[in-house]
Amino acid sequence: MSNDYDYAMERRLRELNLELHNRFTESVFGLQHILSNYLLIFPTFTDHTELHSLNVIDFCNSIIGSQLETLNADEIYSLLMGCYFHDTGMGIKEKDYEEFAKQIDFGDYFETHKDASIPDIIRDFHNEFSGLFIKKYSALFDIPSEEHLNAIIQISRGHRKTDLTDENEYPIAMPVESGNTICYPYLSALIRLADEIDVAVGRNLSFLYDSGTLTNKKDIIEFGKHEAIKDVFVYKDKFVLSVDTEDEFVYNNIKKMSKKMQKTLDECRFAVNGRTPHTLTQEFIEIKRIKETK
Amino acid sequence: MTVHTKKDNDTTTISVQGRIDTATSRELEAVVNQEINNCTQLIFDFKELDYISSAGLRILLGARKLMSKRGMKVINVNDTVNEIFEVTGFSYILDIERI
Repeated sequence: MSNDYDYAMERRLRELNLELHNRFTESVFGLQHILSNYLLIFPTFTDHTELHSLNVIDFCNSIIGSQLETLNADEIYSLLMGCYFHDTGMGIKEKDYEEFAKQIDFGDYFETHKDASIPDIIRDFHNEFSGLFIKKYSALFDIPSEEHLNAIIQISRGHRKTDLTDENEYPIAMPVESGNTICYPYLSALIRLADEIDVAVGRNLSFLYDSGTLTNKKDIIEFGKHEAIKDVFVYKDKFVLSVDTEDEFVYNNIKKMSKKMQKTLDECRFAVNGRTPHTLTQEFIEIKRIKETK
Repeated sequence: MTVHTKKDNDTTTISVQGRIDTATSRELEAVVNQEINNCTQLIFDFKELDYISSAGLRILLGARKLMSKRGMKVINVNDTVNEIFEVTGFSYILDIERI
């Protein structure tokens, strides 16, 4: 990862609005406990704890780069909170699952996924569960207003499977009490991209995850990809996956994954560039292979 | 970055010199991986640490998870590193002793 913009949002928020910065830093303690709950439901799943949130923040800082000055304090606060909150839906307790499931539009999911277990449902709709979780437990995090709460919910939900071009759900300039406005599609697109590119080996710390114990085929493939992707670099015009593997099966899976990433990038660019005052400058995903097949 | 490990009964102290960043964090991760299950108290001595990136924060947070029922602290934290802990909210999570 690039480190030119390390902690840029956090520092900028402190500079612009100390009170919002304090609210953010005080939330981190509680959030890191909540985020660890996902391990109870998905013990072998790739990391979705606050360690992943840190990567998402780090990638957001790199993607925003020199455009940070175009973001106001309310936007930075909402984005940082969204980075921490976006996967809270992965760790909900059974009681909350029962309550939230009644409020989610599952469409034809149960017709097409007849054998879906509760963990399957949570994983496939975790952005929606995150939104409902934030709404229910917002008082724990001292979120300053309903407008900020709504922004954090929508930005967190928006990290996947939502239409960022829907002006009702993702307004370009939602006003808040300070007189600032919050650009929902840009902030959502940042988290969506950052989440999508957090695929390098470092995502799963070696002393917390032992890939040797995996038995589920899907988990083995996922970890195989992570282990082969040594780093992800953010450049102004592209994202580069640095891949080191001699295994063609793993490499082909990474190629498939990079196509999905490209699709996400294209969707995000469509939602942001030209439609909002902001620009996503990265245009494509590139794979740089360190070691070819023998 | 240079990493030194010292063991004193059940306490392991990991001293880090230089910068913990994306390029060097894997080395520190490997040391933590080696030491973390063999101690009841883990101490990170940052007296000679110049900088810690998000990759380093992840290691501290990961180590703290494993050491939650034992003990972990970060000592000799200088102003530069302390500013990072404060700006990220980590000062609320970690047991920190400043220089």
